[in-house]
Amino acid sequence: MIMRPVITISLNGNSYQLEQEGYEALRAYLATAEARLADNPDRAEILADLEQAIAEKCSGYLNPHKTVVTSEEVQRVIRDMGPVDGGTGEPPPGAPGEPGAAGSQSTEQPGSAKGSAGTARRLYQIREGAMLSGVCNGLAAYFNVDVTIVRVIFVVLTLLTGGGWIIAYLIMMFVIPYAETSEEHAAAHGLPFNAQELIDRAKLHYAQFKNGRYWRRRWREQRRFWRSQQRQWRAESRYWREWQRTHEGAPWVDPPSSHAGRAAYILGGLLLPIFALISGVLFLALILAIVSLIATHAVLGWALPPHIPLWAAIVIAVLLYSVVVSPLRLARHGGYYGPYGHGWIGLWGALLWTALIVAGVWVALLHWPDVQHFLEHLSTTIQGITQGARPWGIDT
Amino acid sequence: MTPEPNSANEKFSPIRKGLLEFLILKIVEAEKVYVADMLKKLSRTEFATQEGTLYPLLSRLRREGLVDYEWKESEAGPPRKYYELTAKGRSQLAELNDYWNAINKTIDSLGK
Repeated sequence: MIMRPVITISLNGNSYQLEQEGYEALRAYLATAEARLADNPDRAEILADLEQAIAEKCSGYLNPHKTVVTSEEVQRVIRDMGPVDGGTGEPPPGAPGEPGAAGSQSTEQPGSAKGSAGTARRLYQIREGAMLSGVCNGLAAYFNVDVTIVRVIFVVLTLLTGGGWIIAYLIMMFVIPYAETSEEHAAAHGLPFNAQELIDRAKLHYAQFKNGRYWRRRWREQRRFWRSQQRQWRAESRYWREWQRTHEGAPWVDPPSSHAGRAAYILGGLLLPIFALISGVLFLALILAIVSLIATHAVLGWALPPHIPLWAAIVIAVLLYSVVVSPLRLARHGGYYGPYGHGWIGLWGALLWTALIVAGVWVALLHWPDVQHFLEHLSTTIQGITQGARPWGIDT
Repeated sequence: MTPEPNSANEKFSPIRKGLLEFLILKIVEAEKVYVADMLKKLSRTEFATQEGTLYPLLSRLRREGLVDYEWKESEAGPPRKYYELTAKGRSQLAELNDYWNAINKTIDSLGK
């Protein structure tokens, strides 16, 4: 990161540190404002109001660990403020000292009946009414659809990708800024966010990440959420027990089933971390397979047959993954819900399934020369993948 | 760099500009408001505007005696100006409302 010169200025009694370029831009903006308001009897007051508004916007970019407003941020503040109306009709577009002012005017979407006349719509996370972090809420505002629709799509994507979409969600949680000020809330509902902003935000998050405090806070919030989820699970398993008591008598009084159930429960508890580990490894394998498919059109040395398009191969990989992983997910469910729910069936099913798959892989390894061949070439393939991944900036 | 002149938005800009004063009076009539809140209220409408336009407009309205403001402390930062409607502003708003209705009737009665 290049250190840029910083200048301290006073806005309405408070001092702010701005990068030099930003400072120049702001001074030019205020000078233009002053010139336009030259005939206005309330000039001094309006200028003070404008300064306060600028100061407030600048504060929005600052926190205890970030004390300097960057040039880009100052430009954004100036764009938000808009050209100062001197009362002599429309201010000339693109006047000197107002970079971007003309731009923000011309980005009005033609013919859009609602919103966005002069206000850019941006993608934000919206905390208010959020379930997790506000990503869905923000997307709903951005695309102007009901938040439930977005949530359902997210859940369906999560199921279809076998949980992979959660990674996408986490990334979005990481890079999409929160709507904090009223202007940002307005912008959340009101032209596309740009990539530079996402990068800036990611950099900021990274700085906070290195600092640690931000993540401790996030972690605490996340744990609170998990705890509430556990409570919900417990309530659900209680509900299941109640349901069984009223509908099928009391199955857990029956010794054999009780033993079976308890054993499954204990086994479930023991196997839970193992299942989680297997799921993790499988997911990693899926990602590697997809990266390898894209980079080398081959998985573990298996070249993609020419008549199968890349997308189909990826879909097949995801489907395969879903099939392999679904019993594991059932098993984890079983572990959470306890022996009395429907879970234990899933658990035994999962054990059987896992055993079958392991046996299948073992048999293949012994009797299918191709598989042996691939395993032998695994190391070279992994090298190929990492070389393929390098152009995308994935450090390995 | 050069804005496209064909958009309806651009074409109707003078209409919006003329009506902004009316809308501000309406917003201020409902409750005492801070400029950021006015901008927020307007942001989801065709009348979205910015500080650079709003502050000069409010200062003119105040000079004309239609609105006034009082300082209120804010939890964070310096005190803020909260705007409210004066008696004169109220009667002007009533007149504007009547005038607006009359214009609408005229528009409706003409043409098909």
